[in-house]
Amino acid sequence: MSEYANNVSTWISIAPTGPPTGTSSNGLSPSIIQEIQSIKGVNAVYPIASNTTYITFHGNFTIFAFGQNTTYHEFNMGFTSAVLGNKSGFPPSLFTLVSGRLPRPDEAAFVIMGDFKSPDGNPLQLNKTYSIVMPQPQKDNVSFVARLVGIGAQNLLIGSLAILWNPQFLIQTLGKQRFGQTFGGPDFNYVVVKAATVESVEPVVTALNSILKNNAPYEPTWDQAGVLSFESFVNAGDSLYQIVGIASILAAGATTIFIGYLMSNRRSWEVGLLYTQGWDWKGIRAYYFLYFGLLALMSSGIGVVLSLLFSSRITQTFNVYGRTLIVPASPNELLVLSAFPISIFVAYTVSQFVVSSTKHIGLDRALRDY
Amino acid sequence: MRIDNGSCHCVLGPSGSGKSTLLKIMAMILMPDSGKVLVDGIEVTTADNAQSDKLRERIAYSFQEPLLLPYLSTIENVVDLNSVYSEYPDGFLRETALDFLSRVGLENRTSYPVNRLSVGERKRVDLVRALLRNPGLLIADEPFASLDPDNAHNVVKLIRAASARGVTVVYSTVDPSEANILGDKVTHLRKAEIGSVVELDSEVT
Repeated sequence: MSEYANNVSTWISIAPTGPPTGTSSNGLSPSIIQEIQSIKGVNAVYPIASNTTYITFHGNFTIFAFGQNTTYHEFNMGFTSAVLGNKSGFPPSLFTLVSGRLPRPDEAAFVIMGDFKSPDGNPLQLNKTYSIVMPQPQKDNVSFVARLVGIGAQNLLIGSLAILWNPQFLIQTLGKQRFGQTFGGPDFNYVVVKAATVESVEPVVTALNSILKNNAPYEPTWDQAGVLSFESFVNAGDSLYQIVGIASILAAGATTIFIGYLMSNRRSWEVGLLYTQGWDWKGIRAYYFLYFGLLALMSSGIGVVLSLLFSSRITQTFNVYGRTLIVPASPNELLVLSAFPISIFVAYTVSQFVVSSTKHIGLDRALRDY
Repeated sequence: MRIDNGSCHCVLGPSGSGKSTLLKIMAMILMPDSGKVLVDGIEVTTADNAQSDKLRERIAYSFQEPLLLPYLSTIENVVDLNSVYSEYPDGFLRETALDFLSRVGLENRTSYPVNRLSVGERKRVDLVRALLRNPGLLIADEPFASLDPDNAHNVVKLIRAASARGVTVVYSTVDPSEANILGDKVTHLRKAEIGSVVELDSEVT
C-alpha cells in the first residue's frame, strides 16, 4: 500500500497559468530545470516542450460567436500536443491507456488524454483519420494525416495536454531539426516532477513555489487532497492490516498452545513412561520441545504458504488520477517471519507445560491415564 | 523388607494387597507416605534430583498393564526409548532387542505396530524393553499375567538369564506357584502389610 501511495500520489506538475500557450516561448529555462532537479526529495524531473497542434474538421459546424450563429465548413481546432517519452516528453509511466493502443514508431498516429470533442459535439473517434496541422517556429506549418489509435485517462495535473505523439514518427515527418525546434526545448512549458515519497510532496511544492515565483506564468499543481487522503488511508489501512495480522498470529499461537495443552493432558502417561524408562525431566522437556517445535514449524510453514496464496487473491481497487489501481494485499514480511519464533515459543511453552502438569498430577496418576 | 543385591525376590499377595504400590515405591514412581526406602544406601524420599536420576537409571520397571507407544512398532518401542540414555550403540541395542524378542517368541512381530499385538505379546514387549537397559534392578509387576504356559516359560528363562548376569529382580504375583518359579525369597503381602518372608532354598524349574 505504501509503495502504491509513493508511486501514485507523488506527481507534481508545473504548468503555465491561464490558457495554454502551446509553445515553448517564454518557457522554463534549462537552469530552472536544473534548480528543480536539485530540490531535496525530488526523484525525477520530466521537462515537456509542447506545441499547439490543430485538427481540421470538415462538415457544417454552426458556432455561436459575436452574438450570432455562423456556419463553417472547415474548422481548425487547437490541441496542446507533446511527445510521449523521449527526454523532453510526457512520462510514459504517467500515461494510462483506457482504450486502443499506443502509436508505433513508423505510424502516422496519435493518442489523446481524455474525452475531447470535435466542433459538432461528438467525441473524437478511435481509429478515425484526422487532418493535422502542426505550426512550426518558422511559420512553415506542416500538414499530414494521422489516425487516433488510443485514448488515455485524462491527467488532472496536466489537464490541458491533449495529444501525444510517438517521437520517432514526428522526427520522420518534421525532420530532425524541426522536431528539435518544436519539441526539444531548450525551454519547456510543462514540467512533471516526481517526488521521492508522499511525505516529501509538500516540501518539494514549497521549494518549487520559491523557484517559480520569478517565473510568474508557471505554478505547481499537485493533488493535495489526494495525497493527504491517500496518505491517511494508507496509514489507516496499514495499521488495520497490522492489527489483523498480529491478532491472527496471536490467535494461532494461543490455539496451538491450547491444542498442545489438550494433547499433553491426554498423553501424560507417555511422559510417565519416559520417566520410568530412566529419562530425566530435562530430556523429556527436550523431547517434547522438539516434537511440538516440529509440529508448530510445520503449521507455520503451511500457514505462511496459505497466507501467500490467499493474499495474492485479495485485492483492493483505488481510482487515482483517472485510472483504477488494483492493489493486491501483500503479506507483511515481519509478521510472516514472526510465525517462526512464535513456533519456538509455543513449543517451549507446551514442553514446559507437559512436564510440569505430569509432575503436578504425579507419576502414578499419569501412568494410569494410559 | 530387604532385597539383596543380585537376588530374585517375589512379592506375593492377593489383588488389592498393595503389591503394585510396593513395587512402584521401589521404582520411585510413588513416594511413600511414611517410612524409608533405601536403594544402594540412598534414601530415595530425601534424595536430590541428581541422586534420584542416577538411581532411576539403574531401575527398570515392567508394567502390569503394558505401556507401549502406539505409534511405534515393536522393535522401535523396545530400542528407541532405551537408546537415548543407553551407554551402548544403537546397533548393539537393536541386535540385543531382536535376540530378546526371539527368546520370548516375538521374532515375527518385530516390525508390527504394537496396537496389533495381543495383550500377552504386549506384555512381553514391555518386559523386553525393561531388560534391554541392562538394569541393576528389574521390577516386574505380574510378569506372567496374560501369558500362556509356553510363553510364561520363555519369560522365566529370560528373567533367569538376566538374574544370572547379576540383575536384581523383584516381581509380583497373585499365584503362589509363580512365586516358587523364580524367587529366592517370597514376601507375603496381606492388606498392605508384610506378613512373612519365606526364603526358598531350591530352584523350581
